[in-house]
Amino acid sequence: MEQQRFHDRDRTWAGWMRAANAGDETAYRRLLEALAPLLRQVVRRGFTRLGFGNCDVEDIVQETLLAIHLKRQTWNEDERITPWVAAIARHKLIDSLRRRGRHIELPIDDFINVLPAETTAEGLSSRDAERLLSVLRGRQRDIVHAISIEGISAREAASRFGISEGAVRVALHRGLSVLAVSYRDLNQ
Amino acid sequence: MKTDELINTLVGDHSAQPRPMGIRRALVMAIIGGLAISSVLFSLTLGMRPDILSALGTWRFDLKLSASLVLAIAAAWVALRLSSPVTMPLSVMRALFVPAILLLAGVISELATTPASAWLPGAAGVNGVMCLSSIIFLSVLPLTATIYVLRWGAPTSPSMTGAVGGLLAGGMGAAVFAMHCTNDSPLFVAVWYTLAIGLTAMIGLLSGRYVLRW
Repeated sequence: MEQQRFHDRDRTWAGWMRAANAGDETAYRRLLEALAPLLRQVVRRGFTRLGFGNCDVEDIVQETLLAIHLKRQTWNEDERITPWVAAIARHKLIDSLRRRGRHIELPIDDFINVLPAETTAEGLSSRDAERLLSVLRGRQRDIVHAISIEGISAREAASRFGISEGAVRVALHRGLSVLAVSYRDLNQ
Repeated sequence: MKTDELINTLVGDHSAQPRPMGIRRALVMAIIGGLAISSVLFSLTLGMRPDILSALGTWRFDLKLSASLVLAIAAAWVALRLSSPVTMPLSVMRALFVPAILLLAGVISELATTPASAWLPGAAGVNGVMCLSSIIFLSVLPLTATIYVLRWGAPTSPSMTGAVGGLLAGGMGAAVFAMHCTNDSPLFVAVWYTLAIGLTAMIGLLSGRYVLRW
């Protein structure tokens, strides 16, 4: 029964990701929004078991989402998607624990057998992560800010800043890559 | 930053480029580009051995060339597999035994068919150090291209993936250099080619450890 639920969930996610690969923005948003609470729970559980507080959970959730985004081309459309997400989450969790001076083996099944609990709205990163945004400079920063916090589209950003849509995209993508590196160096 | 805000950003970036280039295609391009550049460098500096046509008919030359090519193919396959986060590294590394066994078979057959007194001169060959440095020279640009595209991947073991990228580049460099080199003894190949490719793998490992982290 539960097995069936995981299976269905995987099919739904894989369907969204395939649609996203074909250019469906809404499907991509659905997928990320479905993954976030699940990642939050997995990370929190790992932290609790190891006796860490919950303070940086959201940083790792965000770092993992960013990694899933930047590495989305490594998922093959004919594969199951849950093990792929789990592998990325596991890599990020191990990496962040290592930065805190712990070396730990995490079972991969841990992730697959978790269903998201109903949680209250949350998802604010720690103050450290807040400072991360300050690594971005000038136009890059304005663009990431406008798109992430105000939620405007690349086209709107282009007309606001008086540059081409392509330039917005390049700035956004570079900004994300810079952000990924800064997450990694956080707590190092 | 709130996670929802991050998701906005990711969706925005995704709509700009829904499907980044797959690593398989990128690696094929790196291999073709790397081989092309190495071949140009090769013809400008070293050049083909004069007896290339007759050499092609000897098993020793063919073994030297095919072991290098098989290594490059096996390493390309392994590197691709390692670039997926779901791959368990050790399970795919076995493919690298194929070129090793090929070379080992050549060595055994050489030891069986030549007198013991010819073994040492065969292994020493003519100017092994020049061979060593030439292979590394021809491998550097393929290695750069390979490591560059492997950054598209998500390897759980960056060092190992870098080392396999080094084997791929070393195999390409060795295959190109084999056209110049007149030392055909499998014993020579087992010593000098292996050493050169091993050093290239070491460079790949060290750079992979930093460059392929994600």
